[in-house]
Parts: sequence; C-alpha cells; structure tokens
Amino acid sequence: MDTTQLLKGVLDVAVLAVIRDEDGYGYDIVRRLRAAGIEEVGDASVYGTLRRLYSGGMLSTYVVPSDGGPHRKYYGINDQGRAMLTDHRKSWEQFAGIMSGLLSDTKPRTARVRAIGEKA
Amino acid sequence: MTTTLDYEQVTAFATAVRRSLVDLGPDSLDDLTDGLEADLADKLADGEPLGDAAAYAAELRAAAGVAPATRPTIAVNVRANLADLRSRFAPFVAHPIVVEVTAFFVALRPVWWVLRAWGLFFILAGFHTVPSNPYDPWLLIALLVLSVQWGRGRWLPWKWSRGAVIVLSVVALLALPTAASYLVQKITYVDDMDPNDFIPTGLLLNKQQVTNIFAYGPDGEPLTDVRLYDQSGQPLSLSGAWGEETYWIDEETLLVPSEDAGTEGWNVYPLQTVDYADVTEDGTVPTWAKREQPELPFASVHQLRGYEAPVDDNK
Repeated sequence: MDTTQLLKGVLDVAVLAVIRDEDGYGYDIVRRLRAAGIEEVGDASVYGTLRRLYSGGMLSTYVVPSDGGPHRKYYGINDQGRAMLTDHRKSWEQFAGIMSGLLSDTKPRTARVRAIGEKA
Repeated sequence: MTTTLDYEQVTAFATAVRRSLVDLGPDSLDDLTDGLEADLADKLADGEPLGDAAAYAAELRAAAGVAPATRPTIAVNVRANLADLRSRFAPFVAHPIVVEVTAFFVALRPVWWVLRAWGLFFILAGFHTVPSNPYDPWLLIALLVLSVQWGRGRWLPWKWSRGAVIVLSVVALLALPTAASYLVQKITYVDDMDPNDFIPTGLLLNKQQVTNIFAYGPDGEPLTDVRLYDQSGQPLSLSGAWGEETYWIDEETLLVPSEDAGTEGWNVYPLQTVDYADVTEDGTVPTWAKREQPELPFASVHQLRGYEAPVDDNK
C-alpha cells in the first residue's frame, strides 16, 4: 500500500513529534522524518505543514543567520503544540490498536466492529 | 558544502517558487518561503534534485492549506458583489416609481448611443465637434452605426468585446462635457460673426453706424458745437463711445470728444478729429494734439424756404 496517502492524515503529528525535544529548521526536520522511516515525504509538504501548524498557533519560529549562506528559519513546539501532540498520540494509539485488531487474522472481526460502533 | 553554482540554482528555483505563489500576498508568501534557500541548498547538498518549481509550489500550497490561485478573481468578486447588491436592492427596484423612472431612462438609451458616437468622434477627429474634413462625415456615420449596434447587443464578436465597449463608453462619457463646451463656444462664435444678429451700440442708420453728425442752420450754412438730445433727455452718443477717449473712423483719423462739455464731450457735433500719429501708445490724446473740424459732407445746403437773414442791428 502507498503510505503517502496514510501520511497525509498524520504528517502534522509526525512533524510535531520530531521537534518535540529539539527545535529544527526546514530541511533538518525533513531529515529527521526520513531518519525515522518516513521516506516518501516531500520537503515542500513538510514546509507547508510547518507553516500551517505555525498559523494554528502550535509552533514558535525564529530566524538564525548563517555565515556563508542564506538564513535558516527554525521552528519550535509551544504549549499548545504539545497539548495537541498529546491529544493526537492518545487518539492515534486507540485508532492504531483498533486498526491492528481489525487487520490481524487471529481475532474475530465482528466483535471488534461492534466495539467501535458501540452497537453491542 | 554549497558551491556558487548550487547557490545560483537554488536562488533561481526559489524565485520561481515565489513567482508561483505571488497571489498569496507578500505577508503569506514571506511566511511560507522564508528560509527556503537554506533548505533547498541542504537538499542539493544531500544529492537530491530540486525538481519542478511549479509542482514544488503547488505541494507547498496544498500542505499549508492555502487556496490555490484562481485567475479571474476580480471578475468573480465583481460578479458576486453585483449579485449581492441586486438582492439587497430588490425591494427598492420593484417600487412602481422606480420601475417607471427606469423605463423612462431605458427609453432614452438610443440618445446615449448617439452621444457615445459623438463623444468618440470628438476624440478621433482631433477634438472637432462637427466634421471638418471630407473623411469626418464617414467617421461619424461609422461610429454612429457601431455605437447603435453595440447598444443593441450586436457586433460583439469576442469575449472581451463587452469590456472594450464599456471602456470606450467611459472614454466617450468623459469626452462629452468638453465636446459640449466646444460646441457651445462654436455656436456662440458663429452668432457673433453673423452680421444679421450683431446689434452695435450707438446710433444707427439702415444698420450702419452713424459716426458723426453735421448740422446746417436755416441759412444752409454748417453749424458747429451742436448738442443733441433724444425724447427723454439722453445725450445722443453716436458710437457708444461714452467713457472712451477716442473712436476710430479710419486708419489715420480718430474722433475725439469735445473738451468743453464735461462728461458730455461726445455730444458736441460735429465731433472733431485728431491725427492717429498724435495719439500716445496707451491710446490717450495729449492736450497738444491738433483738433480739426472733420471734412464736411456739404460745404453748405439750401436755405430754408422763407428764410430771412437776421437784421443786423448795427446797420
């Protein structure tokens, strides 16, 4: 399966996660994502996401001048961003658990489906 | 390590990306592409190709969640605003008086078509209000036909024709006041030049100005220093030259008022003349100027019938 489709929904959280511990500039963040195993992500998608998160108040930003070249724009996560990350992590874990259960062959699917929809 | 060649490539690519995003406005564009050069340089240094700038800009735009550029934004906005206005004013527009007034002006539209043609003619004919050369009548006719056809919604072959007609209409509308004032001036000027309409002041005989009066006594001999009044006691002014210093009768001779009659100097006949050469540059007659009696039309005329020479008491 093409993971780029999956990635679209979670790139926000992935970006927040890789700068949770350390601020980073655009391409630095791309490298971290790739190092973490998200190989297919386009750098422009990451920069656009950074800008959207910044507009949404999740990030702070500052510019660092560079000696021999163009300046770098650094992004850091703020409290609102951390809160969002925590939120997303919880819902992701829940969702991932459900998906893992759904997709695994060992458990009865119907029971799980009822649990999701709370129909039982 | 960033080489000079890399840096040029990066700058060109970043410029192309910014150009693709220019519709976002300067602030958003800065937000989105600040630090782009540094990131691109890193990308190159990692051995990745930069790729297509337009696709890159589109990806940036999509990920940032900003609307893609739409070309006809102005037209769409104008249309949307007009529709909004129309719905707001709908109750007003439906009012019987408004309907009646609107119908009245709609009926006047052909007048506007003619005026539009004339306004355009005024500009194209080099600010002439009426045809002034053999081609102008054809130009005027052509513009009239065009304007009327446009008004009827005909002869608008291209998509932009309607816009062009609007622009031309505005130009014509702006030209109309000037054209009208030119025309009014022209008419006034023509009126002034028409000898039938020109009414000079002063005393006229068969529409000709009377410039001097020669009086003869009952004995047939010329009189001098005669003062004349009309039925209401107004002194007779021949030339309307009251208050003027002189009155020209030909290139060398000027009439002058008498110096002995105060404000009624022009009412002492026959008016005396001075030579043009004696008049100062500012038009005043110096006191030393030689005043002469004008040439008489007749040295003398017939005596009145029954005239008797006065008896000389000294005889």
